[in-house]
Amino acid sequence: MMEVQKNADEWSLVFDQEGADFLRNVFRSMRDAYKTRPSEMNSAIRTVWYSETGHPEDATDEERELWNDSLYDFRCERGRMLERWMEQLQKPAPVTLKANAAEHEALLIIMNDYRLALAAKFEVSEEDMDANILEVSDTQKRFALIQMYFLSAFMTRLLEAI
Amino acid sequence: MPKPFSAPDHDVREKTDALEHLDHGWNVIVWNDHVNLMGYVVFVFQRVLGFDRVKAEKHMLEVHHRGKSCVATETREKAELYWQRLQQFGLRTSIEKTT
Repeated sequence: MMEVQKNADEWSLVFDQEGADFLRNVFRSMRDAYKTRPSEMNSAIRTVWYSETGHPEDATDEERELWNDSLYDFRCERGRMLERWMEQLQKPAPVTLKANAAEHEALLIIMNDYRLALAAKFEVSEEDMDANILEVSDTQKRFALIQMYFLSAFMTRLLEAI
Repeated sequence: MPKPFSAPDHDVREKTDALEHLDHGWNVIVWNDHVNLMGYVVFVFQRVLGFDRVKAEKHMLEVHHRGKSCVATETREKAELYWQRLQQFGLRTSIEKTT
């Protein structure tokens, strides 16, 4: 599914066709989702991506908005990186995605953000995560779980490589 | 006659140090969730908080088993920086004044 080849600080992530197609779709969704302002996005996703809790008790509305704006800018900055990776993933298998040392962190965050968004949007519970996927009757939730498992496999490989 | 401008004297520095010490009263709390991978949380603690692997794993397990872990007690400014950085990584985090 994915093999990590390390050359100094640069990683080459080699995918089969299915893995590359899947990740390209993830990146496309994330490019679009990152551009969406918190006020316009699915409220469940907003809750996990943009803090509505956890602020200091005395934080003003203006401070909360500033913090969320800064998180929004942080996510938006990933757009160009995602475009470049999507282009690389369009080639025929075996498909290589290159990520330098500075990009390793971003790659993990993007995959993790997608998992968080799926879980929030499809109300994936802890029990759902532990369940046998084939026994999950809700097809949308089942599809979300499959994607989450794929991404956790990718992330685990990346974390092992660091 | 006014004193010429000069570097802060010893008393001022001591007072500033004391104020900074008093301000070290903000806890950074990381909360459990069922989505973030354990290995990812360990990685984030190492990357953001500079923990070694053993300490990062200890705090990750505390989050997992007890529902939360206080990962730092800092000045408000530094606690906010940690809080924001941990949120960039998608961890559920809060800061609160120590009691």
